[in-house]
Amino acid sequence: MKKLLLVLMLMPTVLMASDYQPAAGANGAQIYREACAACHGDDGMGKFGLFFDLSTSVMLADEMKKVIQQGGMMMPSFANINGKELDGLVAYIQSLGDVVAVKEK
Amino acid sequence: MLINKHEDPIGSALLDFYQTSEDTNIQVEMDIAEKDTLAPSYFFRSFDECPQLERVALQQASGKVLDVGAGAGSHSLYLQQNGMDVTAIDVSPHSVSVMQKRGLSKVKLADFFEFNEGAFDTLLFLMNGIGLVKTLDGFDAFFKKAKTLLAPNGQILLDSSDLIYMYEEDDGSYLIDLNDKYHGEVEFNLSYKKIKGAPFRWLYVSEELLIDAAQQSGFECEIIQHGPHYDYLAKLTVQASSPI
Repeated sequence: MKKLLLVLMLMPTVLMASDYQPAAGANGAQIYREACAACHGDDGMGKFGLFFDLSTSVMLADEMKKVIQQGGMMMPSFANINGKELDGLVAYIQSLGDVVAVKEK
Repeated sequence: MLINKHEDPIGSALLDFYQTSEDTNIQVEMDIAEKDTLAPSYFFRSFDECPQLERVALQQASGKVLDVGAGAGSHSLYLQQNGMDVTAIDVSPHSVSVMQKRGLSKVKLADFFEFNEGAFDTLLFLMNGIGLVKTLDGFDAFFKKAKTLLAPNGQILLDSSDLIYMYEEDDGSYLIDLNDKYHGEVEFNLSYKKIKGAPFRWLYVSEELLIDAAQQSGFECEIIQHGPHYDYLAKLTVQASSPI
């Protein structure tokens, strides 16, 4: 069976760009909290039954960086997250999966 | 019909979230779809967090407003904070309690079909609130009731979606059994922790069928805006020639 969308989409289909700007030297966890958690949840497991569960993502670091910078199906682009901040964020997101895997044991 | 307070999963979840910030999901079972969950926190969304169709509806709401199936009252609170005269009703006793605690001044535990107080300029049914008609056959009674609650030149604002996407095949065609019930009639079973609600039916209706049903009952139906996923916002008004 398929999923029924219980709540309306929060974003219009046209991709939007976020003007979020991480503080210089901000670490991955901080950027995640500020830019990502509103939709993906504190633990990365998605929210509202709609948004992508990051904790089980098998995306490679480079693919993840591309989605963050260019946006996804429903996700706005975060072009201002780059360089060290982007590396830190991706490392943090990848660590979310580890935490969940440990919890499930 | 009002919900028994011991069988009120949504209301109980909203009350817990309001009192303790506990965001334990409501478990949602449907006859036509996979099991899913709803986060109580979603009901406490601000205007900016609302989907676009809801934001447009709130901006279109005018005059004296009746928010039907108001839940945690987020839409009503927004309207009240903007100086509007809004009454929120819900059949869930714990939801009503949450709305009172959140500071809504006009809240009633009431079933839309049994509510008789006042004439309203706007009847608001958001988050597919029109589902309360249960089946396509329920529209007749709905529109009759709506006419008794609407002030002259009043409007109904509602959002819904066409569940045709549930029946889309891999090749893009749709597979529907036309002898079966209408594809938007869904049976829900909700639970929250150990609290189980009574099963209930809830309608999701396509634009075309809503327009048909409205015209049969003497209403004009205008689709104000389309959403991103088979969803839409409609404005319904009594046809000029129709006797109220």
